[in-house]
Amino acid sequence: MGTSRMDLTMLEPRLRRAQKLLRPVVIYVVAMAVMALFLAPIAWLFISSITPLTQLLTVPLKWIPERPSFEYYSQIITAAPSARTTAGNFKIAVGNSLLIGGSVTTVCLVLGSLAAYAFARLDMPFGDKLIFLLLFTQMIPGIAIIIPLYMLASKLGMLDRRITLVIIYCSFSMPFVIWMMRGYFQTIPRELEDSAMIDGCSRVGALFRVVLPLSRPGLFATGIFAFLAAWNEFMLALIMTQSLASKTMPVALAEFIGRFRVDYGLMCTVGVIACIPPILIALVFQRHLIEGLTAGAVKA
Amino acid sequence: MGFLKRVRTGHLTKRQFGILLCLPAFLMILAVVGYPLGYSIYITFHRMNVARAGMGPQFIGLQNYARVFQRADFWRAFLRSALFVVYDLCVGMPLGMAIAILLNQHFRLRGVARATILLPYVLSGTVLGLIWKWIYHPNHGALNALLQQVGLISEYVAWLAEPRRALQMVIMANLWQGTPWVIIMYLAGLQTIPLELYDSARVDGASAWQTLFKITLPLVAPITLAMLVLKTVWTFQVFDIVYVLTAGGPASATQVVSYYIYDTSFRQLNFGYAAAMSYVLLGIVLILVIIYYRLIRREVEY
Repeated sequence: MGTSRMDLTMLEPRLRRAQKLLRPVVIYVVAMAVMALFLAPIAWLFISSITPLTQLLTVPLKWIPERPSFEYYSQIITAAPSARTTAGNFKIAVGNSLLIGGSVTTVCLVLGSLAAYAFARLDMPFGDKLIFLLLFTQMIPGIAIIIPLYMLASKLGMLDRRITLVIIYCSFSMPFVIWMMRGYFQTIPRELEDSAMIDGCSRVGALFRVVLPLSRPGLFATGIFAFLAAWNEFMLALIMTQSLASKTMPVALAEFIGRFRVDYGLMCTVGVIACIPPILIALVFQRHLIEGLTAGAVKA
Repeated sequence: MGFLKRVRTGHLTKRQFGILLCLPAFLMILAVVGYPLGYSIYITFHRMNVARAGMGPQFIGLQNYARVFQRADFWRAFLRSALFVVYDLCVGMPLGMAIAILLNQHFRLRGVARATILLPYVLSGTVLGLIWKWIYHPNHGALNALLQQVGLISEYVAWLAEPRRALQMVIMANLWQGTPWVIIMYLAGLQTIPLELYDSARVDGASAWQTLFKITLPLVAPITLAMLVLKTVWTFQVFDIVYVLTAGGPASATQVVSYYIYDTSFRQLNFGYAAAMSYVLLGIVLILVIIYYRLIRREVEY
């Protein structure tokens, strides 16, 4: 008994040292495992898109393609944008989505910034309460307003038009944009604007020449969100669009998946292409994205 | 002087100018969110079957609401969505917290790991549906291949064919998509905690668990509240991934509440009943949000 306890006390410093050495290794290994967990499904989509079909269907499955081919990619790139082929269909839908996403981002930033400026500087009636009411609209499930929206659009002859989706997505993202931009404007010292106005700038001039350039990070962060929301939205697009005149990428993709047949490679390729804009945004604007995501909750 | 004339001549007070700047954004939100929300109430009191042409809306009082509370279909769909929420809150949030603590440590490639976490978050629900549909594929799916090669299953499994399992598989895909957001939020929260707190805890001889429960968790409580609320609201809206992955099947086993309401309105064209369901859903979600606020406020004050 006595000796074993002695041994233990002698061992303890060594154990401690071993633990100290081992800790970073364990952290590293677990972190890599977590990373793999989130990356693997996306990586598999990409690998499937460059693996020849015959190899993709072998059992047991080989994970790395022996002769990777980018045939499906060239098939989509060279396809004429027409309704007849899957690739052509998808191409038009991607075009629609880019156009809608771009318009939503622009309109949201312009109109949202104007409103945000009013809330930050111009002594709005019910200021904070109105902002909370706006944010509350974000909690309303889309499904709760989709029926009247559909009826309204149909009555106005606005079904199956890209402009309809632009207006809808703008209104959905606007409260967030207003709230975020208000926060940014409030961090800009009033004196800067005042001195610009003394130098002969109008208030609007001061907004565009002084305040907006200084809030560029905020514009990036909010713009990214407006674009991503428009690019990814599915349920409303599914109901509001009927033909390629307005069909967006998620709708075209869902239709394609609905016909899930053996052209798995092509389907995965289409999936990868749908991932490109959001992933590019996530990698290039990582900092802005995280800032926008966490702005509210962390400050509150 | 009238408001319009002042706009023309530029003689506006600060407040009037502010209202003018807000007008475009507000009119848009009012038309797209406000008006439909109000009109929806009108619809819930009427029979509106668009399939029968020539028939206008017929006033039927509270019948649509009565049906919502009498028929089991809606509540079954609601409970399925509630199960998604329970998994998101009880599995996704603690898991996200654990991963955030991990990614907050110093190690090589930490930046890369954090960037990777963002990817599932930014992808659209339809793409995620595609990814998981392909992984769960009964004959050529990666999940079957992996599990067989490791020796966990001897024969390929049709993951989405059996009702109960299908629901679990959709929930897993939803967790995979939803957890990165939790990780990002908690990471941001952890970075606001002053390091001195941990140092003094170590000096006082606190264990890792004590530090977690006495320092970390209380200090990220406001973020936890915000996430509880938003997660609940969003998860009840899950639609895309179900539409693509299972279309509510097999035998409506994965028919979540948004999907059921969508199906009632745009496949069965029963607008009145569907609108009543969406109002009941909205009400329940609001009640949950209020309960969270009450619960957490008490916690935080203490």
